[in-house]
Amino acid sequence: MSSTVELVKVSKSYPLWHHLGSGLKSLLLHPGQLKALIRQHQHTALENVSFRIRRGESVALIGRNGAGKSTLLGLVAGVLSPTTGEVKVCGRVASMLELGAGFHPELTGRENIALNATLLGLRWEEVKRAMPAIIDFAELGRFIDEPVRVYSSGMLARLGFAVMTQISPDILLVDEVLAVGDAAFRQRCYEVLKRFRAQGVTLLFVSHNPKDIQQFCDRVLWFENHQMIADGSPNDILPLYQDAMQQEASKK
Amino acid sequence: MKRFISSLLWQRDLIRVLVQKEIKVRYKNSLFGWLWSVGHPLMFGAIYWLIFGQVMRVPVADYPLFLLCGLFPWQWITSCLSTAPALFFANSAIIKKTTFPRIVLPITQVLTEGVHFLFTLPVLALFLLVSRTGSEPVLAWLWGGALLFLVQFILLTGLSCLLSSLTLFLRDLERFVQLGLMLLFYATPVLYSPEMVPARWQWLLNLNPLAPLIQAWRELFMHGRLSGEHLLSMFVFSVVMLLVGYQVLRRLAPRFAEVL
Repeated sequence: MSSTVELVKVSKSYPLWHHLGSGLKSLLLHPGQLKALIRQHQHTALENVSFRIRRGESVALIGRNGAGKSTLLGLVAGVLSPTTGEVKVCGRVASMLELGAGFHPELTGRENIALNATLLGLRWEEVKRAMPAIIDFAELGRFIDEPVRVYSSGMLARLGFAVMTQISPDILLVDEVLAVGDAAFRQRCYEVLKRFRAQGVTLLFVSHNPKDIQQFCDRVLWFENHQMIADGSPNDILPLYQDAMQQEASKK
Repeated sequence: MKRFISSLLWQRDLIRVLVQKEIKVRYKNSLFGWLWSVGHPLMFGAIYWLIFGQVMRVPVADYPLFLLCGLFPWQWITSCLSTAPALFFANSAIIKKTTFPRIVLPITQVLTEGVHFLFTLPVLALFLLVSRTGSEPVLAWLWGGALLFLVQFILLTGLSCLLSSLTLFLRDLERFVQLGLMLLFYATPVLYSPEMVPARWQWLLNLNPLAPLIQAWRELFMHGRLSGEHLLSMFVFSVVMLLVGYQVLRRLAPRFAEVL
């Protein structure tokens, strides 16, 4: 079994750069403290995380906000590098951009498709070839030639997801983007995700929706306090997770 | 090897798409669009002509033309360098999610402003024709302009790499850049000719790498010739600047997503 994503004892801590960036004054006044400053002010986002994901698995990352899920996606995507440990990724990774993140509000849907698809790794000719299919999927009608600032958030999500359908990654990272959009659109997204799975694409997604996880994932990684505390099938983990969340809620 | 080439081609496509985006955005929603790129140097030209030409009586022949020939290329420099510190902040969304080589962004920015500069050249040519004291349009404008464009492109890309990456870690740099640009403007012979500078201040011009560049542009526009003496040293300096800027960017790039 070949693994596509493997993390070996990965920790990630952020030096709190803003202490330095906040002003040259403090730096000039206390040059000797500079090193100590940087060392002390570290924020740990992930601690000693190890796991392997095999090709074609679809894995949900669950946990409270700030538990380190997005950092993990950043590490797999290659935009962050681990402080210690090793991240091995085999294959082309694509992250679904946050809602409208790669879009420019003044450009039309069509122009934004070209921009977004190129950013995600398509060549110019490939973009041209994929354009009709993307427009088709987005179902925006005449809005495709309107600037995206007039789009609703559902329409933005549709446009973003439509671009994803036409690129062929080996590993797809999805960070809570399915939460928007109407029922019919979500249904189509699920179909596309299913198709990706059938093609052997490895899926990694952050979700807070147990139903989605049940339907799509064959594995759940649960993060708490910057550590991975559980790794197993949705059926085993989700009840525990929901209990924990309910206890949390009733405490408050 | 094949992979490397296809990645380079992809980067070229990416730069093309990004430059197109920037230009479209600039011209789409502003009523005057292109006029802004032209209006800025023209406006300053008029002000400087009035103050320094009419009030202070700077003894330079064809002063209005002299000013414009320096101000148009200067506009490219200043619009690049003043926005360079904010470059990565403005693109934080895509930096945090995708792994394209970060140098694409400075290149895009310098190219975009370069295209705007090219768009303004017809206006400058018109002034040269109307004034009749300037040179007739000559072939030297084409190849000389292309050479100077290349040198300035390389220099600005290097500086933009340096400033945009460093500002992420030292935010004060943005303020310094604004100040520095103003200093640099007065240390560059845009308002005056280098011969007017007293001997004991000549070192200022010799230190300033932008001084020979602006002079070369003006020489080309006004007299239709390209002086070879500084061209080589300017080219070497620009390439060194690009290498330095690129090295800094490459070293800091893995941390970009952390600090944004």
